[in-house]
Amino acid sequence: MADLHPVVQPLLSRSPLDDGFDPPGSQANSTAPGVTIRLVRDRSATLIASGPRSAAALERRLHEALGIALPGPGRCSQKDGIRVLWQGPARWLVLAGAESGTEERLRAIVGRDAAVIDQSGALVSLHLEGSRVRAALSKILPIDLHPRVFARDDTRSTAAGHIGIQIVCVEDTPCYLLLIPRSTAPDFARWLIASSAEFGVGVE
Amino acid sequence: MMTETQPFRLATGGLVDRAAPLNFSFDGRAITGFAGDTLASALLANGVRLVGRSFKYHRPRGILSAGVEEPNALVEHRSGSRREPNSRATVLELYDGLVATSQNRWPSLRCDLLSVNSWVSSFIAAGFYYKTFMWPASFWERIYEPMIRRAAGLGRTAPAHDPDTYEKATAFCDVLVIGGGPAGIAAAVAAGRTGARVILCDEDFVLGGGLLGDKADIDGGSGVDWTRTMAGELAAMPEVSVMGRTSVTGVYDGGVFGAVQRVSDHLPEPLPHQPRLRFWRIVARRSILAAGAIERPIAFGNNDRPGVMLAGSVRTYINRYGVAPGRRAVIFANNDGAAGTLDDLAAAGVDVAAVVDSRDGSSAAVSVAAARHGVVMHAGAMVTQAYGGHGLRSVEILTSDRQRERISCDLLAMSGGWNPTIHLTSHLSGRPRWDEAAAAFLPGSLPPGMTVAGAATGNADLNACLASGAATGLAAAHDCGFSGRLPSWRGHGSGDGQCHQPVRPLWRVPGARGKAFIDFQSDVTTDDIDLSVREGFGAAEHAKRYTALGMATDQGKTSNVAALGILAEITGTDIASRGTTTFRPPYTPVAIGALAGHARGMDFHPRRLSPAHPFETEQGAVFVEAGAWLRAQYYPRPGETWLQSAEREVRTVRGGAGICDVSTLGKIDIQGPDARAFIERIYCNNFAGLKPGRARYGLMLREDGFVLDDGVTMCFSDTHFVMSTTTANAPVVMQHMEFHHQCVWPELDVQLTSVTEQWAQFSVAGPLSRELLRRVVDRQHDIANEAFPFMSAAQVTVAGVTARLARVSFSGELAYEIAIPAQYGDSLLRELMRQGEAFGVCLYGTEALAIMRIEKGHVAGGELNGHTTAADLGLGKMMSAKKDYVGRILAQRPALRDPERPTLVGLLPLDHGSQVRAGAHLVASGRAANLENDEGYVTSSAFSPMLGRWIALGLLASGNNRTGEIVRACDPLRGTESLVEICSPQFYDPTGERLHG
Repeated sequence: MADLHPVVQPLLSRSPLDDGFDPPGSQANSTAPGVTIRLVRDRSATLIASGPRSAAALERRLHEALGIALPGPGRCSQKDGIRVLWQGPARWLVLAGAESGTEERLRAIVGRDAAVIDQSGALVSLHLEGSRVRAALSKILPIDLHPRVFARDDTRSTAAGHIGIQIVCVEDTPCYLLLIPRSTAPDFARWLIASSAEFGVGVE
Repeated sequence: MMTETQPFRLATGGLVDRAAPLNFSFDGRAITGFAGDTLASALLANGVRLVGRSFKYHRPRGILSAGVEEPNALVEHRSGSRREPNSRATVLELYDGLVATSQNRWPSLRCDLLSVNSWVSSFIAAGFYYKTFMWPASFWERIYEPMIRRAAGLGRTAPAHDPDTYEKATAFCDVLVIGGGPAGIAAAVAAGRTGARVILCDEDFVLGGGLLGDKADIDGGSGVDWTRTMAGELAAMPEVSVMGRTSVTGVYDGGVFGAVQRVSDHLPEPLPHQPRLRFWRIVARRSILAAGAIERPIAFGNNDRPGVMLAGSVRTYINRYGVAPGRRAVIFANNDGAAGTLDDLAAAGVDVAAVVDSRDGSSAAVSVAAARHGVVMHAGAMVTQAYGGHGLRSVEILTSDRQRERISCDLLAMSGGWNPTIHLTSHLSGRPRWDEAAAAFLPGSLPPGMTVAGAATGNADLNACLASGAATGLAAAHDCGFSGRLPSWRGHGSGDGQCHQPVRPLWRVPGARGKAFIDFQSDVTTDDIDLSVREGFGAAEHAKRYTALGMATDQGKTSNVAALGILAEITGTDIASRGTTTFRPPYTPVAIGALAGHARGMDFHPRRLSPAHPFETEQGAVFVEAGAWLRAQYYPRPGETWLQSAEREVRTVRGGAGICDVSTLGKIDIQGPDARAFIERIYCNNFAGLKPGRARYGLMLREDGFVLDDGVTMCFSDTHFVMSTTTANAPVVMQHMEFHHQCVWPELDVQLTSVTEQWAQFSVAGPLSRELLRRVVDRQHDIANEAFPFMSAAQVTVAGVTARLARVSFSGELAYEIAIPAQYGDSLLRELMRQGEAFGVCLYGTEALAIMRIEKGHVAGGELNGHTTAADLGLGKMMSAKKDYVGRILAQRPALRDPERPTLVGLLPLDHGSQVRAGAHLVASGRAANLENDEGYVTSSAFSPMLGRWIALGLLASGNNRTGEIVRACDPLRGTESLVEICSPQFYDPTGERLHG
């Protein structure tokens, strides 16, 4: 009887931006785009949250194991393809490659000093660059992205309209990484494309 | 097409490009202007003086000013869906193909039938509406309101959906300079040279402000040349941004300014991907207000005739646009600016018939100019009345020796002095102060970080403007940590002294004949102010409401101060003690689209989509908004109504298996040594005994003792729990828990994390649900009844992917909820449906979910409404007596323990076919359906496929003791009523046998 049933298929990972990300009409002006948007597919996101009593121990353990110092407010640090973002008092988000088993590895490192929570599916990552990317983002984010106040390895949690997002300055060129709640990613992407369109927008 | 000549265009001069003619139309007539014109300057160049009809009396109106203050020359700009009423011709930048139409006239501008209002004006003075449309009351809605609505308003809104897009944006700077005249430019250059981040906003489409309308020189060159040099320098500074066509409209707390940028209003239509308007939120550490000054009209008889203009504006039309606004002019002023006006008119070849200076004795500056040009000078004289219907033909003056004299002219250049443009200084409650010497209101207390420069200070002398601009610009940059040298420029303007006079206030001409307007746009005359005071509305704010003065789209830019002056005169007080009305944002009108920006239509607010949204769409789901989420409401098959679809879905679940997407439920990860202690305090029921691998239904109260939310919490270890909340309350619950974590029990070592976005979650329900899951969950996990009984929870895998499985039920059936990381959600649902095909599985939506929970008497949004206690919902026994928790104390209040409180009951209509609707009120049988007899209401209702009839849940006073009683369910809103029997809320499978199947 059991044999009559289909074998369970491997589950496929899917981004909410798999469909409908290509902006209608934007190809026309994308030969020299002022804004280039790339969906970052292969990355994990893991939250480390600790209590006040164990933050110091956590910091030591992570530094020993990964060689990364936990960044302070508004900052991030990185090493060997792992990027750690400050997210709040005693909370950090660790971004790494998708296949690295980061959650298990981190859990082994932090032991009982912190909660380790997978957020890979919760966040959609967009990589933004181009000469006009700041102008495009000024239509979406209420924060100052001028390099005098938001430079490489700075990060902010902020509000894009009704959507809470986190932004990282990857390079001063400028080049940014945006983390967007999965459920709102299609609407956010449409807004981003509309805001970028006048500068020419390329989507990778 | 033949273009008309421009008979009033000067042969040379002005900043228009005579090599670039632009064709446009006004009231269907083809006209030509030049690039650099406004609609107003192009109309004047073509001798078009009659531009609109006034609001109330439908009087013919022309062009009063050359700026944003314009109260008369309001037109409909563009046509069709882009039509925009009340566009000011004086700031409407001309482009090829512009279409403008006059307003408030029928059948035509020259012959307007409603101008009879002017003849009956003594009956429709200020306050007319308040007095006349009082009685009979039966006339209010059917007769008066439609009548007033038809007559009211100016212009027509667009008849169709606006095809343009709008944007909002945020900018940051060290120094914001408001106004692009000499002071503003000087400030921006001084600040910009230090390296500070500077934004210069100018409402005009050419930088220069007052310099454009003046024959000024700076450092040996013309003012216009200086402006161009400075504009070039500003453009080359990387940290300086010059925003033209941008009006700063409001000042807000924290150095925040609102500004509207007219990106495309000067184009036939927006360029691709460009908005029409962009609304800026500018955050500035320091700001400099260099907004200039606005000239004041003088109230005399028929001072609204086309051809009566502000003197400074006359000069602007001559100097900036190369247009003579008339052939033969009279100048009427109370200040020395008359001299410059005379110079400019004479230079333009306009015949000046007379200079009428209201001041006693002779003003040296004016009389010297009059003598120079050989013009008759009347000192101590006044213009009492203007003549001419559609255009000025002559004026009557009253000389100092009380002689009346008629002077023929087609242009009157009047100046009652200048009002510094101080509106923005008052937006944060700053009160302007009256300055007797300047005879004007000057900036009083300023918004934090703001300084004022140029003519806005009350001193329009060009050198003073340049100096105050440079000084404030450098000081502002200095405050932000930048340093530099103070720039110095020497200038001479023909308008030097124009503003600081000596002026003698002249608000209204004594002995004037005919209507003497103060507020042209609202049609308020000096008589209306008299009337207002007579009737007891003599305070500034009262007179404004009584007469509507200052309440039109121009917000009284040319009238407010004059009204205050007249009020002071009438009441025999001084203007300083009269108080002022309040300036509020916006300074100039802002289209509502600009405030909405991108948030329009489908982008009104971001929609949250479930991870399985693509598959559900493929399956034909009809979606419904649930908070920010879009949830599948039902999955209709061809020909099915929503009810038929929902019924089929219910039968499929109860007869076999169904799957519902519950990804939208709030999910909160709770970890840490004190996680259990925290949950114990948050929930009112016991969680001390919840063992790893088990789940429990929890009820959460607010501090005030009422129910906040419910949900199931799974225990994975003593230090790790995952709580679920209702979809609607997820953010509130998270906030509630964070508050208690951070503020009430900071000593608890617990970490709260929302994982709502991380997990896709599906309810798999029905007698065959276990068999279905057996096919999907990896083999090594034992989910047999004995190994995984009701309220079990475990981490499992599906095709090797970590998932969470809990045996919980909302439908009352054997049921599970399976959660998987969101990126696999769509794939898992497809796999469940593929495996479920053999079981006849279906997807079910929120309609079927609601029907089944009502059949089971489970509470949801209708009952968890913030007004119910645990006992009201039949859950009173859950409130633990052995521990403390949020809401325990206040839940003991007598009113919350009143046995007569409405409690949850089931309701069955006696007539099986009749429907009971949620919202119907419950009244004891035989009693009248009124508020006094109201005993509760229906909270939820559904057609039960299992019972074959409508069922409902309700809250009924003393409901627990009334089983079997018949009450009336009255729905006066929809005009229905039925008799219902009170029963247990558990309609279906009351003993819960199916749950354990």
